[in-house]
Amino acid sequence: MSLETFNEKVLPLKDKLYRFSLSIVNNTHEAEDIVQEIMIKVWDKREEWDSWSSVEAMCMTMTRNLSIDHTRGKHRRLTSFPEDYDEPAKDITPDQKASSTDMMHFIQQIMDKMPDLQKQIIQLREIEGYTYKEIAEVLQVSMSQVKINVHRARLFLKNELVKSAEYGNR
Amino acid sequence: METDNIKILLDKYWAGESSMEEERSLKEYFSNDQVDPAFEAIRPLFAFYKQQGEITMASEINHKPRVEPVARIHNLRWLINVAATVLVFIALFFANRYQDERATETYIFTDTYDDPKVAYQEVKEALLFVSAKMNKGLSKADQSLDKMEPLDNILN
Repeated sequence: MSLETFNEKVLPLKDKLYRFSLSIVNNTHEAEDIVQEIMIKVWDKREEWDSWSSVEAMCMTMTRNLSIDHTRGKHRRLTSFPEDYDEPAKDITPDQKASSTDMMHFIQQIMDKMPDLQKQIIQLREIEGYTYKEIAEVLQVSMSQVKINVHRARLFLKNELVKSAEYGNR
Repeated sequence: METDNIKILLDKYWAGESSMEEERSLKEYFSNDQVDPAFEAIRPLFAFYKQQGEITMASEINHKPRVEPVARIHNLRWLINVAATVLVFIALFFANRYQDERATETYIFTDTYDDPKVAYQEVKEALLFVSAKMNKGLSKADQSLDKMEPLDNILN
């Protein structure tokens, strides 16, 4: 019975959990290890599943907490890309900027400037498509906090993008 | 017309007041090739979200709960014990039967002849036959040795 629930509800979450963890730890190997560990933890807590209002929300919360624990444990790079990524070239033409992966890298850098809570909210809302209520449950904050931070994060991203497009200083 | 609509949606979006449905429309619009130049600056943001959403974990989940498989292995072990015991019994049964058969055969051989004289005669004939064959073999061996003589000479 619980094995079925695990296979149907928990295992399919692996990519979501992985993306969420990756957005926090910025390291693919570490994020994978975290997801593997979460799977064991969730299975070990199978007696408690009935008391969880949402298995997915609980899995996401556990992933967030474990990922934060990992980031606290050691000195880390602040940039999000692994070592084999090049720094964005500063002397490319605007056309190249718009089309290349440098643009994605640039947005990642803007994201990294945001407070952790805003970053996590953006991840859950824009990438995973969670409702404000679900985000509040995963991050264990109030709905109004979620809304305020969605607004601030989006505005920040917009201003940074518009600014860089106007001045061409990406 | 569509541009105006998108402008309204975007304003709601920046304010954090857009619904899921409205945000889906925006994502769809920006995934299109024909985006109004007025929105060109923020277009990569939606491309970024789309790209991030497609990231998947490279490895499989190692942890597969094993509650039921373990129970099944247990059952099999029990079955193997039973099978081994049954095999031993079958082996004993056949071994026993084989020995019985051999005993019967020996008994039949001892009783081939009733009269000792006839038996003696038979044995004598058989030995003579063997003896004749052996003598024939010896003469063949002598002939062969003669042929070996030249070789012997060379070697000496």
